[in-house]
Amino acid sequence: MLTALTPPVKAAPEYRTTWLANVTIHTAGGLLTSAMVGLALAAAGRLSGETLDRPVIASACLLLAMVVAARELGVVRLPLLQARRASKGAWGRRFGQPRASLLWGLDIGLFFTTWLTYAGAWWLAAVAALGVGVGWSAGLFVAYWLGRTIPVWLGPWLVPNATVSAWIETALAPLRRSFRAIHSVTVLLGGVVILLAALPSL
Amino acid sequence: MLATRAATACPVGQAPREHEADLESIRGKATKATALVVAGAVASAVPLGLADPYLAILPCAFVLGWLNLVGL
Repeated sequence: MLTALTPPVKAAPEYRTTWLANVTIHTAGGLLTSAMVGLALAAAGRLSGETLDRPVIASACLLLAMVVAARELGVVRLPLLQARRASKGAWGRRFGQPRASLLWGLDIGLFFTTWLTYAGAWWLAAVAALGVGVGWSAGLFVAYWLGRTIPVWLGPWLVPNATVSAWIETALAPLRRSFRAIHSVTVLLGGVVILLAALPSL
Repeated sequence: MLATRAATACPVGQAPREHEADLESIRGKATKATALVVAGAVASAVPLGLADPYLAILPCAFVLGWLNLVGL
């Protein structure tokens, strides 16, 4: 999405407005579907919550966090369960902007209908199903979406000129190991916090 | 083009040498931005966690979302 929505040239003022509109619509679309994902997981969690205590589910979330971290750090080799699908770039040509930006946002905001980068998304899904609260679960995926969209907003700053737009992934490739490590630590810390938060309900 | 895809399934090519300075610039900015995101998440998790422990997970989710895109 970085390359699709980053302006191909350092934007002339009249293009900046178009870019701002596209990115805003893209963000709004994803906010809607990501909130829906959170709500759906909360609803699923409420069903299982009838039979499982929250501390039990929180313990399972910590265990899952450890599995995710082990996978991302290369300790264990596990396939990443994901839809092998990318949001269609052709929508840009077919529908034009800003409709394509909206569709990309709606599509990618569903998270599990397109490629995932890390397994932490599944950990987040398990956490959202904890049954803490419907609004909380929706907020969780909204926070995830906002974090995911910020790089798109930073695109014009991140990309120094038009000719390197196509090489963003190449540029970031050497940082992947560090990103995986940060991802693993974040998931582990989150798992510990969730378990500690759930314990008082014993 | 882009959206999300597994890095291992689509190997990235070698950029022309004349772009190396620009790529280095992108790497530097991404590193700084990631550091700010993580620092901001830690800073916000503490007061949120004191208010309600479950709220401390929201900054975690934000960081995971950030990494999901920059880690492509």
